[in-house]
Amino acid sequence: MSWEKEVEEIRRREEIAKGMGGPDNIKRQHDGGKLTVRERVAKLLDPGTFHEYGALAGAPKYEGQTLASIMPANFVGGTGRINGRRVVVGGDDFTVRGGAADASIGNKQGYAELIAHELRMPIVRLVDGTGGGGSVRTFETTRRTYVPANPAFDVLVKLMAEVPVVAGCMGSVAGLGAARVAASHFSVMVRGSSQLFVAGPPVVKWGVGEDLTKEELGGSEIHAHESGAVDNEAETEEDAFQQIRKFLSYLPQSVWQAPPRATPDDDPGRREEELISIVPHNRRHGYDARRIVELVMDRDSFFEMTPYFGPSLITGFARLDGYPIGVMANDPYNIGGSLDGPASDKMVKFVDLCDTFHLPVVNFVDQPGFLIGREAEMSGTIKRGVRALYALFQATTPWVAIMVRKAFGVAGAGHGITTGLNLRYAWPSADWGSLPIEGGIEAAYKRDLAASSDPEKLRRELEDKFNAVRSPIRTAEAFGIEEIIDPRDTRPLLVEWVHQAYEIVPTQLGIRSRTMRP
Amino acid sequence: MDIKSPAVGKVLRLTVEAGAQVGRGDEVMVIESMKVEIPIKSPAAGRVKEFKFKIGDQIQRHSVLAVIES
Repeated sequence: MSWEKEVEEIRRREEIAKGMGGPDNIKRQHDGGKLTVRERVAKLLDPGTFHEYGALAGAPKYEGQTLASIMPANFVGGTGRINGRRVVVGGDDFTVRGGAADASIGNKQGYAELIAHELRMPIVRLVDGTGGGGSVRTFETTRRTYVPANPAFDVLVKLMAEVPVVAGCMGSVAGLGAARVAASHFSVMVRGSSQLFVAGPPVVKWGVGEDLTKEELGGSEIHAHESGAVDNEAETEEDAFQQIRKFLSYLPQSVWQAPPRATPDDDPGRREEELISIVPHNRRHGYDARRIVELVMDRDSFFEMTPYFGPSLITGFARLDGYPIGVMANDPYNIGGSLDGPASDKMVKFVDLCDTFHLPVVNFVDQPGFLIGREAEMSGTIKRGVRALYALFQATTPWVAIMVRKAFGVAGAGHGITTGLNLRYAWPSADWGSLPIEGGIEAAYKRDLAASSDPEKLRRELEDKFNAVRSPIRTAEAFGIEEIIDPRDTRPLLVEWVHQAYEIVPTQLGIRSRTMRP
Repeated sequence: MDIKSPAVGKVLRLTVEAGAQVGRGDEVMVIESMKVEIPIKSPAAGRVKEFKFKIGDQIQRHSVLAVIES
């Protein structure tokens, strides 16, 4: 006796699940400029690689023993491949009860997190649903309230220390959905069609009286540009999926594996002529720090993470002779490259991320110091900045600094772990000290300047005197800097370093003892 | 359209005069922040309706520096 009939019934049920919340709701989703969860999964993964679990989960209605209808669960989950490598993917189905968590079936969502945790593979969350509580309408049927709980939160916490966690914010996401976006290593939202908030406009209007649109309250302008709650902004959903695929290409499957080397496609010995003149002699003039990164790293390998939040610090991933690395660079065009509160927060997350996944880091340094001024003090710059230095000193992943220009004060000292080897190469444009000479003269010669009949003249004389000792070659005389290099040699030197770094990486694999917070 | 300051600092110079036609990405003024000059570029093509500050003025992050009329 064959089981063919039962298998046919399973296949029939799977086909029903593909109908999601029905044609009307699918049309509404499309009319809103959005893809359905199944279209999203298909576009994110390598073609034909999705293996779904739980397709039969749903809310059935029976007439006698016959199934009259079944509303599929509002979460689609499974495994698949991205660039040939396994991932778990799970997405909310907005066409079924708005993706609300209170309409979920069993632990279908939490199961995706458990696969990532126990089978040690990256997870991509495509969040498009409301909070854990969903709607107060729930209480009409339950006829009681409950103490809130954050389901599977212990697993979410563990995952950040174990496997790459990626979140796509795909619609209007509130409450627990918003938390699931924030609880990630990398998040992306779509400009104009996705929003994120603790609570949406009606609740905000009731609670604090602000009358705002969804976009004004939690669009990408708010979260990718100002708050830093989301890392990247995408132009379209397809762009978001491309960014997710790219991000994962630099990362290992888990902390128990080394990051994957790509086939090298660039000359490891390439010396770029442009580097000898890219930094202007005038210290008050900026330059394109991203251009330096592009010239030094493997061609077209740089992927910027969190480009708009804390913009004085550029963070991203690149490859050197095929090996993935983390890249940091201070941007002189943004508050001179200073470390302010947002840039410090960004640095904490980025350094923790690289260290967690054993990505060696190259730091291009042009650091005038922590941002100064009243607003900077009010925003807790020193506390947030010191946290960034803690992240650096807790890191044990291979680290090298290229001293491009400035390194001043406590923040300047945070270019590397200054107590150990602190591998670094300075460019001839390097300029450093406990504080910049111009401002330092004001502080150290305050009394002399006040007593002088011509304070401007005295200030100029003092500046000339100190500028004469400013050359990094004088520092090198005292072995205060180990090596000053021709900037054109940067790439060949870093390629040599990255090969050495990747001999160390396999000896460091596993969970970092500090684990990781979002 | 307002051009807002990306940083705290002061106005160093005005590259064009009020009333000038500018293209998208053209430099309209230069501010100084943390001892580095920051060129301020027009986000759109149009006419510089007015500058809100003069040379040497202190500015805060998000201060409106100039207004562009498209």
